Amino acid sequence: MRYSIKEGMLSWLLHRLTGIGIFIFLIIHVMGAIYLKIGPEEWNHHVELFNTPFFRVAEVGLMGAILWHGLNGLRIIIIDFSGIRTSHFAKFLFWIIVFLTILLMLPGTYILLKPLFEGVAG
Amino acid sequence: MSILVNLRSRQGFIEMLRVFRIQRFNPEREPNQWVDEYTLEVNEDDKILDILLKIRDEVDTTLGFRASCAHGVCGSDGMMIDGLNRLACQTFVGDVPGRKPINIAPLKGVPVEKDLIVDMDPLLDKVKSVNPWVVAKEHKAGERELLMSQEDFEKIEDMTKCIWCSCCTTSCPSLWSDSDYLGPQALVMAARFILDTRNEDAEKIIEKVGGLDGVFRCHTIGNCTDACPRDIDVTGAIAAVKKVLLQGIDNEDKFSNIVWEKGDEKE
Ligand code: HEM
Ligand code: SF4
Ligand code: SF4
Ligand code: FES
Repeated sequence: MRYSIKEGMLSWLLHRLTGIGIFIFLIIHVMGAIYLKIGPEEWNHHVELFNTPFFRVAEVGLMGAILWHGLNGLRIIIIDFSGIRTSHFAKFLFWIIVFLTILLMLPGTYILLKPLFEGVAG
Repeated sequence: MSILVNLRSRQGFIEMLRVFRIQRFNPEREPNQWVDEYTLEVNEDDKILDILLKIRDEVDTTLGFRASCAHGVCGSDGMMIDGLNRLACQTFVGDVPGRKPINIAPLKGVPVEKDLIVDMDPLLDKVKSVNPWVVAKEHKAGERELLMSQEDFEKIEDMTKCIWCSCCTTSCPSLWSDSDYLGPQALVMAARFILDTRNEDAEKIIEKVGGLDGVFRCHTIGNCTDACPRDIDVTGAIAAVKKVLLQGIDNEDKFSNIVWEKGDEKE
């Protein structure tokens, strides 16, 4: 029998997943610089990859992960340091950051996905 | 096993049938873990504890669980009911809305001894390990009692209500993955005796809870606060200890900005 996943536990699970996800992304991303050593053709090809539909959609996910992690990180800091009674306040902040994450993702998602619908990318 | 029982046969009551799924454990049986289902005729205002007593007394005398006061005072019947830790004597059938089966399982993260009975020793040892008492070196036996101001007491009042049920510690994902973590129950006690102005040995507690298995294993998840049957702001108490560790206990001014907002009851 499982323990119910409420706001607090969900935010923590997402925080850990996004934290590890962003970390792995950063490692791979920085390793990409190795193409600079291999040659200009290879580097250009590498950079072009990010323009493909797959990467554009994946980058929407990356943006969501970073936004969630950053905003939830601030939420944890506020709960730990504000001294306000936690239960209600923590849940209130949870829904605030859900809202902020979605709100902040809107313009980025538009910019990232727009070319897909104009047939420019790929 | 599935059994249908008549909990009460009073006339004129609107009765309903509810299924209770109870996680069983018996080290001497093979397999030693299984789930029993009991279908009972119940009312919304029956306590889960009444139902367990009914099952044990009239259906299956081998069902093991702890309870004593039946009034939310002794802290002995903490268990996981419908996925949340609570006291069986303070939880009503109506607290699990709808008609779905009500799952009842022992507290998580500690060894189970039988059915709903877990080994509380590791949890109580954790509480003891933080020195949860007042040390007053100058105070001699026979002198009048040690006093503290009303204002100072209000800072710790919330935490003095703890009934040592361990619902908090066993709801904590940090404890599930690291059984050495002190856990919220011990940390509430630590906070209570660090903030107690009569205690001259607070530094000792601070040293203990600042260690590898102390407050910084807490990820501010809040399962503990949700679980506490005494409505203690458990995560807040841990946050207060984190603050003390960062700012130092002698820093009276900063210390006092630990605000305990009152009247903000949880649902
Ligand atoms: C926007 C800036 C960021 C903020 C405000 C932030 C905040 C936090 C906080 C407060 C925690 C501790 C959470 C806890 O107590 O469980 C944390 C954990 C973590 N962060 Fe970040 N972080 C940020 C950026 C990053 C980045 C860029 C990475 C990846 C390279 C990252 C990876 C992690 C990982 C792996 C954890 C551990 C997760 C866990 O223990 O559950 N963070 N972050
Ligand atoms: S707030 Fe801290 S102590 Fe409470 S459940 Fe979460 S991690 Fe555990
Ligand atoms: S803090 Fe609450 S949940 Fe934890 S042991 Fe005390 S009364 Fe039980
Ligand atoms: S039986 Fe004492 S708290 Fe429930």
